[in-house]
Amino acid sequence: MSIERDLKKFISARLAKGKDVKTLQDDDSLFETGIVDSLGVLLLVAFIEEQFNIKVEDEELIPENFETINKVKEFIERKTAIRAKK
Amino acid sequence: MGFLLYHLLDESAGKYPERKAIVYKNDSITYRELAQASNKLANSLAETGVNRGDRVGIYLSKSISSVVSIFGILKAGGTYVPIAPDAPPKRAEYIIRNCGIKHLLSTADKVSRLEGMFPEGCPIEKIILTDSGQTESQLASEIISWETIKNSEGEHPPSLNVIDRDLAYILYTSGSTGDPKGVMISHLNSLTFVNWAQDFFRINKEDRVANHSPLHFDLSVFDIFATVKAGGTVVVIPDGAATFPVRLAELIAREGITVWNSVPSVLILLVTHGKLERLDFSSLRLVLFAGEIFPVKYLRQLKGYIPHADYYNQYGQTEANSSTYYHVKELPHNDGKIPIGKTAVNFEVFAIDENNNIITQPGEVGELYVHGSSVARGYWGNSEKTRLAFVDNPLSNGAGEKVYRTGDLVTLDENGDYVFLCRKDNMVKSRGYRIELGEIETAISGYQGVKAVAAVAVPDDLIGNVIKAIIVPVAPGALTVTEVERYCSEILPRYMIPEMIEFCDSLPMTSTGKIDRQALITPSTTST
Repeated sequence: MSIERDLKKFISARLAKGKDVKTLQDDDSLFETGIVDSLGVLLLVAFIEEQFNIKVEDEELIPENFETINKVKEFIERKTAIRAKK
Repeated sequence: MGFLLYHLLDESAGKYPERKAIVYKNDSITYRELAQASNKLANSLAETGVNRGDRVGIYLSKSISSVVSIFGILKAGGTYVPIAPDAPPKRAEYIIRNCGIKHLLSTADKVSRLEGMFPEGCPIEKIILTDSGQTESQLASEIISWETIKNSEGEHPPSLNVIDRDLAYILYTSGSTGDPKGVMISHLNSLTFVNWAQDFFRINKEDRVANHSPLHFDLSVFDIFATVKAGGTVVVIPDGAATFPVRLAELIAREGITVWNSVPSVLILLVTHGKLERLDFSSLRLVLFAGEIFPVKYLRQLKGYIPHADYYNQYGQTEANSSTYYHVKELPHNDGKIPIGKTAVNFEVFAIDENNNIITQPGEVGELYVHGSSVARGYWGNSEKTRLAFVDNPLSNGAGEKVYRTGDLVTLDENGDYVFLCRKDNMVKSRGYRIELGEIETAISGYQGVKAVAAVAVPDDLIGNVIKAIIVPVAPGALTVTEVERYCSEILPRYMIPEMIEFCDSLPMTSTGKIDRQALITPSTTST
């Protein structure tokens, strides 16, 4: 729950640049809705790395991990789970 | 004899009918198919009332259809006007009204965004949908489906007396007083550049040229027309591809791109996040970049990954096309600058100093002027701005020729190459986009609760400049960053919305009573 809340807060405060995020569904594309662009995705990566203490490799910067809020959330959960095992 | 942009297609379709002309994702069309599809569109447009010189809007994401649209409009004698697919509806409305677009090519989802933008006096009469979507749009009296056009008759384009002085396209750029300016480019203006570029860079039928830039950005003119002239293949890169640098890098390798042309920021993203060392770029022979300064350290890294390619810095403006070029061989020190180079054939470029003398010696500084057939006719419906930028040639002794005054200050180096120094005015570049700070200031000052505003550009390694707005509210605490951003997003394209918004009690002034922009660029203590 807190991952999702932190993510949404960051996206709405720092990336949306005035776009309406209230109607954004967790499975809507962040890119097709124009909420996140090529610069925004790098800010999002920097935020995730710091907030959740994980490292996002360049190979992981792909739509499968970043297209929607749900995908980003699942990605963070996977990464933190891997870290916990180590 | 080819003197119109679509003659390039006619010729290549005659010579190479079965070669691939356009590739987009898993689709492609041959030259024969491109010629046929654009002929059908041209006939349909003519039947629905497009006449020579009419402006036809293209409000589309990049795809095969957008390239068909360009050639269809030109063959109908029309002038194509690309509207950025991610433009805020108000900006799209401004462009549609400004140049009087009666015919619009678009898709159902994009048309729905314009709904309600024209409470009265909507100039649009006909909408042609280029996808299979449907719309009940009230904007136009007639909606025509792509299917109807595909099934229409007419193997040959309409016969019209189009001449090379007719407008081929209008590209809207940022305007300092708040409204975008429509740069009017004729067939002759465009072909002067396209013919040089295709010949100089030896674009040939084996080339696979990436079209990364959106159609409203004039780098796309090279991608499409120089490639079609050569009978090569235009590989259309999907909008937003630079968001995922690893995937974009894979696309370039997989598609066997031979020629890449973009703003440096995209190449910087590829260098920093594209994992280029994993991939095979042996096909890539030519990398062109334009629009902003390429920091030497990133270009050095790029050349390290792809050492065999030729690298060229291209310099130009929408108003005059690319007029100079610099072949990058030895790189200067990381703090150095890549020159903008020497003048292209059939262009004249000169720089004039404060005493009205042409600069000829290294170290002298002057403002750059461009003269030649590539220089645009001016700004649509704006004779005042046209007069200021397109001026009598100071060298012509009364022959009546106009030259484009770039507003760029340049110097010469020891090799006789021009080197860009800075702007004379408040135009800046961010991600290669031209931004007039005045346009941002005009937009923000229109918001309730704003007493005064200044926009400044803070230099940035990755994207050239980051825009910062400093706002004096009518009362302390009267405004929030979020509401200002929301207001901006209704008027300005995304790249013009300030990355940083700060509030303060008053704007710093210089001794001459002007806003002290330099003081605003350095970080202040009153943050957001």
